[in-house]
Amino acid sequence: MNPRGHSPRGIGRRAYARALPVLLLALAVLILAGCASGYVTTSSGAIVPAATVQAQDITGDALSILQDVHNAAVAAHDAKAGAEPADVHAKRRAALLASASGLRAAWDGLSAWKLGSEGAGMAAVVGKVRDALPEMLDAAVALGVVSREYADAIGVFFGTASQGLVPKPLAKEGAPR
Amino acid sequence: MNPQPLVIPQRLDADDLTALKAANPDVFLVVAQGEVPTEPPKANRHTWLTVISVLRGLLAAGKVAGIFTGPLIPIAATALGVGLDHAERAILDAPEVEDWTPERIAAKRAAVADPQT
Repeated sequence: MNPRGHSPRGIGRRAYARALPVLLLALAVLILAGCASGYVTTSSGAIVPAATVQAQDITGDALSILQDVHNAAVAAHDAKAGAEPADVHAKRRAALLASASGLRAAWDGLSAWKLGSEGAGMAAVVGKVRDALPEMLDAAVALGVVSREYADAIGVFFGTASQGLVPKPLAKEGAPR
Repeated sequence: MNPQPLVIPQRLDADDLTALKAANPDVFLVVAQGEVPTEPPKANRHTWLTVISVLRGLLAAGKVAGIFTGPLIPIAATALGVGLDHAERAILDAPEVEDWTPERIAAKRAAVADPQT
């Protein structure tokens, strides 16, 4: 009992009772706001959940980074024409043609996703380019375009995304991650 | 009551226009000259950020007033503060405009290089 006649247990119970609504309200907010919230009016006029636009942007950014690596590898490859064995050059050319084709298919997939086509999504989009990735990334590392560590980070991103999970956004090489 | 006007894009052909008019007799159709302007992005994140800010204020006031007594409530209040930070970060990271428009995607696709040798 304290001087005002309240037992410590009673005070604690009242504190819980007063704090509980605040906690429950905050919990509700956390559940609602825990992921990308709201809607985005896209350039096509469609109103799309922000989480979907966020996933599309992450995918577009990753494809863009991958394309930069691919294009740099293509430039380095073309510069080596005649300066390396023909079979080595031909093998790399085939890998780069495959990744070019995969990249175009992936961009088409992203367009389809933005247009709301059925079956479109991050996994479907990255799945179009993923098969061509290992050889292209190996070629890019061999040509000195990217480090092995960064090539592995790209591979992990596309591997995770192809399983239907939303990976952490892929940063450009050298950018803080 | 005045009919509700609806701006439709110029690219619709005559058959589609006729079908649209037949399906919407109470709607006044206006064919756009040029592209239909899109609405500005819906910015409801400010509402959530305000709610988070208010909750932070309540938490701070509760701490000052000594509401959070007992063995578990202070821990819960701290965890809630961390959760609010996390929620705020998630909201701020969510886009309000799309980065990858169809035009930008098409331009990037066109820039995919093929080996020449």
